[in-house]
Amino acid sequence: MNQSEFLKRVLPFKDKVFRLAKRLLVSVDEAEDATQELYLKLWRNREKISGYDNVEAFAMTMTKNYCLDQLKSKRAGNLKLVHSNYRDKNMQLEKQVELNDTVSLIEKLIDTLPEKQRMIIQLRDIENYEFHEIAEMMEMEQTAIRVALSRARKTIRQKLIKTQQYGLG
Amino acid sequence: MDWDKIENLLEKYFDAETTLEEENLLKAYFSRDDVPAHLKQYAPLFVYLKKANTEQLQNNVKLPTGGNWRKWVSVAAAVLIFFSVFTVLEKQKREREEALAAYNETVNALNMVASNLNKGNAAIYELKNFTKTKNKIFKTDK
Repeated sequence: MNQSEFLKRVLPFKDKVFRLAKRLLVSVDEAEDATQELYLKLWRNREKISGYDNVEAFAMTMTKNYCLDQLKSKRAGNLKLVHSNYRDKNMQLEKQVELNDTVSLIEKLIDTLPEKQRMIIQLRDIENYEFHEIAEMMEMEQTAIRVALSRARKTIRQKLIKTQQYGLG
Repeated sequence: MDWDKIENLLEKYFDAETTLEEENLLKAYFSRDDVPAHLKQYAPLFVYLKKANTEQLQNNVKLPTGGNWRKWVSVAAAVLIFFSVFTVLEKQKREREEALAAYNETVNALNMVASNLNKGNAAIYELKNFTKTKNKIFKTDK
């Protein structure tokens, strides 16, 4: 497979890969690095993946595993994942939003969830994948996914209502 | 606008029992201006979820440029092989020349030994003749 054929197959989902990495790693820079890493891996394995039906699911699973490893080694190194308040490169999303700051709060709320729930919200509520696709990417059973999804959505509701009660909405 | 239907969907949503279609419906409804007061608190959630998949990777992904690299590696390999073969052949030629020179030196040396030996033979022959002749002329014993 030459480079242009390869890119035609793998570039369509690069933003989804990036968004998943950002959901897990929180930092835009780290998410960009993770995305770059993933595409290098895909390129090195290009002969193998040329026979796959669903390269996208494979790529998302690899991204998930890579990011979870990064998080694990960070914890081992006693580094704290702090969501910085500085205005990073990714302001475009917030500029598009016409509602008040509560919407940007949602992103931070989701980031406070455990990793598994964060991923499921990302894959279902944001990327709109079907449950069988999510099951493949997360290497989990569909029933377990629904349970985790329900838990995640209810937690978001609870935190959202609490935030608004404090008059921040 | 049937907000009762929306409340039912909302229930299903939090139980993770909605389809993707129903979830898209929820996102659409909550983007409207006329959301009733008691449901307004959910609006930011669905507005965010709807917009969140427009976020894009800013920098381009870079891949190693495999093409040129391979060509230059084969050129370098060919040059390397040529030099190796050339060096070995030159070394063998040199060794042969040195062996030939050594051989010639040896032959020369042996020739010198041989000619000196022959000189020795001639001397001994003369000495024998000298002794014979001397004995003819001089009677040595009584």
